[in-house]
Amino acid sequence: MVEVDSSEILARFIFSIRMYRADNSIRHTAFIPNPKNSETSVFRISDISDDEIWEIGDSVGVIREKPILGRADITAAVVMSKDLKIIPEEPPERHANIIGWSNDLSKQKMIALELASEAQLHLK
Amino acid sequence: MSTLILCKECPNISDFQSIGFGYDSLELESYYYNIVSELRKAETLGRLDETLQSLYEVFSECSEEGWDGYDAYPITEGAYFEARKFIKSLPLISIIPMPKIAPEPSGEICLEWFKGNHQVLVISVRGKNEIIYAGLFGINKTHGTEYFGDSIPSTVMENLKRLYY
Repeated sequence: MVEVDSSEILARFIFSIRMYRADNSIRHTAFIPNPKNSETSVFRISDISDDEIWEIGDSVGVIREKPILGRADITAAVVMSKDLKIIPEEPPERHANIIGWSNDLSKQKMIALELASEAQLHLK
Repeated sequence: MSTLILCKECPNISDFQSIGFGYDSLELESYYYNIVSELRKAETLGRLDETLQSLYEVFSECSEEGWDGYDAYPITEGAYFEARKFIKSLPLISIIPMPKIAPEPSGEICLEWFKGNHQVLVISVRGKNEIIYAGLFGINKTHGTEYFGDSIPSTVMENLKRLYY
């Protein structure tokens, strides 16, 4: 699998309205890693159309049994600047995980806040 | 003879913080709560009830595993009651607004004060007498963990003041 380049765009699919605010800004909780494996699941979306991105989101939603509500887009460079790593992990196609989160929950929160402040919300 | 001693370090008026004893002290406590009850009818204090309602909604909605579409843990009862205690400990008469409530994938309750992407403080509780906090204040940032006993830790209050004063 091709390594993730810093110029790539990553999408974090959102399935809960609690992950964003009324003003359409993204909450840090959207990027907090999965408590079971300490990874944040994302998709690499740089060279595909919006329709194709939502198709991927829908298919993830089917697996998760939740309708997709939106996505938080962020550049890989921002993620990498926080000493996090993005590791491709397929299948599914284009899937990757953000890893390397601190075990210190407060530091984890602060970094998630920084990621959320740089991310763009796209509602479906 | 009864003695009433008010705790000077307590920053809020919603709880009667006293180490007094005796009948007079109890009567004064009752009188005090009547005053606070009247104050609750004011707009500022009405927001306290709204916030507690919002907290309950988050707790109810996110009480099953995977509520976030990933593998989030359910919000725990301990987190719910500790968040309630925190909210009720906030200064009632203050320019610090009531927080927004959000669930955390780890089963914690998050309380959020958001003024903008780079002006935000979040704290979370999980029923372990602990407050985990992080904040962005322009180019400055902070994070840490504090013991949460009877009142809001001064570090958390100081960070709230960084946002609103």
